[in-house]
Amino acid sequence: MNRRKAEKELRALLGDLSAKDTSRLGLDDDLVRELGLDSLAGLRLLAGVEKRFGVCFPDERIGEFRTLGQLLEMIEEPEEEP
Amino acid sequence: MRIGLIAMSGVRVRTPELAELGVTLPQFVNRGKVIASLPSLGLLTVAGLTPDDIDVAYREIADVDPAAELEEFDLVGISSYSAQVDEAYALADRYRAAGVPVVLGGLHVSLMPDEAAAHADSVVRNGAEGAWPRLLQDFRQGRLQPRYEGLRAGVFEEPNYSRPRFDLLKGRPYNRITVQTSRGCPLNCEFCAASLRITSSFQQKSVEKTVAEIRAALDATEHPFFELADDNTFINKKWGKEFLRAIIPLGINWFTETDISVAEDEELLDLLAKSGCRQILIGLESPDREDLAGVDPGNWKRKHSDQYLEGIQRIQSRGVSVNGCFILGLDGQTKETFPRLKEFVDRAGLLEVQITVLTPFPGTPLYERMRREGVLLKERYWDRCTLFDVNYRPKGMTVKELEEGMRWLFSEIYNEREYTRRKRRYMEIVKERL
Repeated sequence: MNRRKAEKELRALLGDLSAKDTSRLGLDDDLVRELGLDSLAGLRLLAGVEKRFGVCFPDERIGEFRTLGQLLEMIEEPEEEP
Repeated sequence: MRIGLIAMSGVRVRTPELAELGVTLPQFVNRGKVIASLPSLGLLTVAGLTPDDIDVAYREIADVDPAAELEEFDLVGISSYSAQVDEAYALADRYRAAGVPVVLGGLHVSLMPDEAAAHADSVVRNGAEGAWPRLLQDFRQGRLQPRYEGLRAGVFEEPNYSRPRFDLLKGRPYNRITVQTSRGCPLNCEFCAASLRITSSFQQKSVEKTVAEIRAALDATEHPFFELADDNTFINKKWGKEFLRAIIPLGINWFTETDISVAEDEELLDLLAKSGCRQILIGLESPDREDLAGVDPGNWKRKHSDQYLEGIQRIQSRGVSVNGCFILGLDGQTKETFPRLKEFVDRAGLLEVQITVLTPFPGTPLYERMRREGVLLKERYWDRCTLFDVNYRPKGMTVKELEEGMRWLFSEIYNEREYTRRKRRYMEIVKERL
């Protein structure tokens, strides 16, 4: 999937989850702060990304994904399973 | 006239070893921190009961520098938890020394009014409804009375009810806002120091009033996560479903406290998920049925304990996480309880766990019983009512064994590995539902 399409789908997913307009969200904006996501909402977002894009976030790094840009990088370059 | 309403609601663990654990395993005090950072709904309600011609300033403990000059008010109202009450008294003493009349209220003060009276010009017991408007009238006429009894029933009915002043929170960095849908709980657990102590029976707010409050809070704060400040939100399932249907269009996320019986009602569970409920806290108290004998007078929890495992699974399958709440030091518990509790948490797949020590809050039936039995370690220990400090001699183990067992459990349950496991479990549940 190309980056542009992935970004569009990610924004839609974020919009569904937060019930907020995500069209102006910057790639480096903190999702928790900008969308008022609580920790559980953050986990639901990651679960949604995993299911939609067929990726698997490493458990020990779950807390590190806080921006649209970071999520896009993860979608583009999923880590190899050991 | 300008009134200052000051909330003193911080909590600090006193036992040094526990305080140290709090640094290395921060998740174990997460819930305490959340509670301490919530705005004082009681004082916002007091503000709501104040006539419009009086200027109200809402302050919190963090706003009050003990070394700084006192902010000027014509009258000060202070509310506090037990753990912080001595600091509240000290602040009250300072204001009174400066010639500013002080009113003390809240749960601790309601249960210990004589103690509080030594630091106040007036003490308000129970809810502010029915007391605060009279108090202000008397104050304006220069005849403030030493004691006012608030209502214990009909608090959500007209003309007693007033919407809390959420607008006073504008510009403050809250990410959680409390709204109350009820006061009291018919389970009447012996240890409970919540609103049931200031009500004569279960009080239910109407769905219309509750929704209006949520809307007012949404107007005042940005992206708030709502926390229902109830003892037990879903006592009345019919009301519960009506309420949940009404908040679905608001698109909010929220948390509340209730009991395991919600798991028996599939329709209610579906509505919880649809309405944005993200977590419910359930006082499971102990993994062992026999430990629950006498926890509540009707032994409701003991009778329902065999539903715990299936109930947790059913609730969490909806994407609503369960914060399982356990109490250490119950009469039936021994050293063997600690590993059994750890095993139960693993088996139940609980997504969040809250472990506290049995705490005889002053004025509760538990406190009265322990005082009669002579097992309290000190006569006055309010600053240690933190839910983590041990203040009595337990029946089935020594104080040291209880403290050590608690620390062992904390390190077993609140470490990074377990936390990560719980997060992953939650994500997998969510994925199944997508």
